[in-house]
Amino acid sequence: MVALAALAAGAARPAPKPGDDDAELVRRLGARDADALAALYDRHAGSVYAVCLRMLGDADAEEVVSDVFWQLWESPERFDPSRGTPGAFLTVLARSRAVDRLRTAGRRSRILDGGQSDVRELLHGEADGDPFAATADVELRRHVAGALADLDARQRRAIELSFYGALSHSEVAAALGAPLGTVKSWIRQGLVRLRESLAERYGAGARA
Amino acid sequence: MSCDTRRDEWLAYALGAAEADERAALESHLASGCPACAGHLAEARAVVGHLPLALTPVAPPARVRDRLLARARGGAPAGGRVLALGREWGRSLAAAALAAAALLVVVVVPLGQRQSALADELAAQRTTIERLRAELGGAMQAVRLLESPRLELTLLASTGDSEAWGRLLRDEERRVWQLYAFALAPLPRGRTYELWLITADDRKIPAGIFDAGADGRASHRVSLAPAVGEVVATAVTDEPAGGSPQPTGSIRLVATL
Repeated sequence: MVALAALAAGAARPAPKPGDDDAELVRRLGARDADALAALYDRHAGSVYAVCLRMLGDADAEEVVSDVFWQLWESPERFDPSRGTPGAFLTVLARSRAVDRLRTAGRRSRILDGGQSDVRELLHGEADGDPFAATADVELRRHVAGALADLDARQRRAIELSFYGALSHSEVAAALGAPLGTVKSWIRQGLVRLRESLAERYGAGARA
Repeated sequence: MSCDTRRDEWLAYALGAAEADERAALESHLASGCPACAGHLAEARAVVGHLPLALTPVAPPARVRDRLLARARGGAPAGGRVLALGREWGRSLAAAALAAAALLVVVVVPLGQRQSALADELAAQRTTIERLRAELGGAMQAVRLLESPRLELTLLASTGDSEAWGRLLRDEERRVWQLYAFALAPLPRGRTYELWLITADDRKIPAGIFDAGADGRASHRVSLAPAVGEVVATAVTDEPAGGSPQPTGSIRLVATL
């Protein structure tokens, strides 16, 4: 449990940037500052859209991006800085909205149609340069991508199928054609390793 | 089951992998007020919340940003938020009014502007088509002239010390003449160039008027009526605007055929 406090503290700390950081931008939303919305959009829309594209068709994905940022604009008080960065808040919200859409329409997530992890590309150096170089939270992104790349490919795939495919253990097992107990282990082991990796990062940051 | 064991179960819960019965059991336990599990849940949510950070960002189409910001900038009423009205029906009413206003702005006004812009564009396109059609017609006539089996070429010379000269293409089969003149002096206002056909019996038949461009060039085309008979010479004179029935001005270009 030593990880928890450090993890929460680290997650709450936005990427250090000169000038207005994410938390300050969200505060300005409360004053109906549309420029702050534009800045938050420019920082995070790419990540939010990437999540949506994992799960939905292009048109639905665009709508969810709009919905998510509109919700932040309308109710900035719903963003709780103690529970993570605005970037994490927006992407988790987007995933949740996308799950709602999939269930309402009775559709399958796009990830089930063969979408592979781009973590794989990172691992094998197939991506052009550093895809996170121009993004907010660049160090954290590299860390998470690296941590996922270090997982066993089956663990990673099972986690991604569950998260982006909105599938339970048994549904992931059916999708992968693997025994339920094995899939449960993959998901648990993968997430535990990710948790440890993040605790290490935030723990190190806290000590520094 | 100890709550340390539950720590990993909360990871699957936060991911969305827990089955319905497992979810219900965890939630029921949490509702009993277990502080450790509240911490586990927060931690698990933080871990799972990091997953999207590993995705390579993809920029959405620009229209998403444009619409969002237009809506945000246009939808905020001056002096406070719609929510400040407080009552549900007030919110709905205000939202409906805003939506209607937004529809007017977004749909009706641009439609009017768009229609007007389209009309302008259509008129401009029609003008262009007319111009191209005229140019193409002239070019096709020149081509047909050159294709004539009975094409005659005559050079016209200046009568004075002017450097003007002309080239006359005569399609004797169809009795069509095409004159190209060069280095013609610009005429004063109220004067024009006129072409003459001079017959064997010395009649001078007017064959149309034309003007020279600023570059001294002129182009004139004429179809000869059958009654004209045999033409032995041609000339260009300058005449009062509108032309004359018989030549009155000085001869600028002349040629015998």
